[in-house]
Amino acid sequence: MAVRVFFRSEGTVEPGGRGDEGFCEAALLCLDGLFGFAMSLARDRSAAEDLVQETYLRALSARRRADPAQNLRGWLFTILHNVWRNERRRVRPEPLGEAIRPARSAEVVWLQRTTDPEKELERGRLSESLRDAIEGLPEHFRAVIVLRGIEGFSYQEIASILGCPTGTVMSRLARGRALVRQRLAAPAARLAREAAR
Amino acid sequence: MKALDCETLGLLVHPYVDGELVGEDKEAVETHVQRCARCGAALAREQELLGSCARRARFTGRPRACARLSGACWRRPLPAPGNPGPPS
Repeated sequence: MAVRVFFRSEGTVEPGGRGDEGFCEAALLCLDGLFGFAMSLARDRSAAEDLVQETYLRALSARRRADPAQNLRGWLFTILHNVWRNERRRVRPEPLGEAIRPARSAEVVWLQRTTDPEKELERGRLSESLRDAIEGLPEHFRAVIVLRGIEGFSYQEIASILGCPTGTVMSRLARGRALVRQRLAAPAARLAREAAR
Repeated sequence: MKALDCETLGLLVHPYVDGELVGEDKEAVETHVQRCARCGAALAREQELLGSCARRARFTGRPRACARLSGACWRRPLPAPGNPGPPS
């Protein structure tokens, strides 16, 4: 893909040279994914924007030290996660296994619309439940679910981004998805009861 | 080809739906779910959940700060909204 080709074709990037053009274009293509990942970690629009901004600033200054073996997209996600982790260490750690409140930003828009109002309403409710279920997960589950289910990274790439073994990624995915399913079961049962009335 | 029991299959469901299994392991899962309705249903549920996440749980808000960063530091507009997709 284009992002990977950048490193292969450009090699060392010279400041202000043609390499910077390619770097900027390739890096900016990752913006939406990075922002989504930042939102899933921070659950606050302003904090997510700061995270993404810091990520790009660090990437820009460290672009010549980037490992060509790792694709640019994965490298940017790794930087973002490191920035977030350092920030969390500096402030207050999130307790393990906590039950978290959903903290959705009203400005964030979610995808998927249909033309059938009935179906749209139902899908809207299910999408909302799904969002709530994911947002309510502890951070270490939330991160793997977003990186795999939404961003499409492989287990190995997720392990590299999060700095943990692949086996940990697998177990967190299985446990996180089970929790999402549990959380989805309650709203689904409520909707079924409402439909039966 | 190796045969799987239901317990072992349970461990392979997520790697399978995530496309992480290849060759003999992948074939073993597919053979097992063809003859085991319970495991087949479990696999289908995981595939559905994964599909729902990909379709419905993506943030699409465009960060204003990045637009400013892009304009100020890189002197270029942001590209059209989108996602480059998973790395190849």
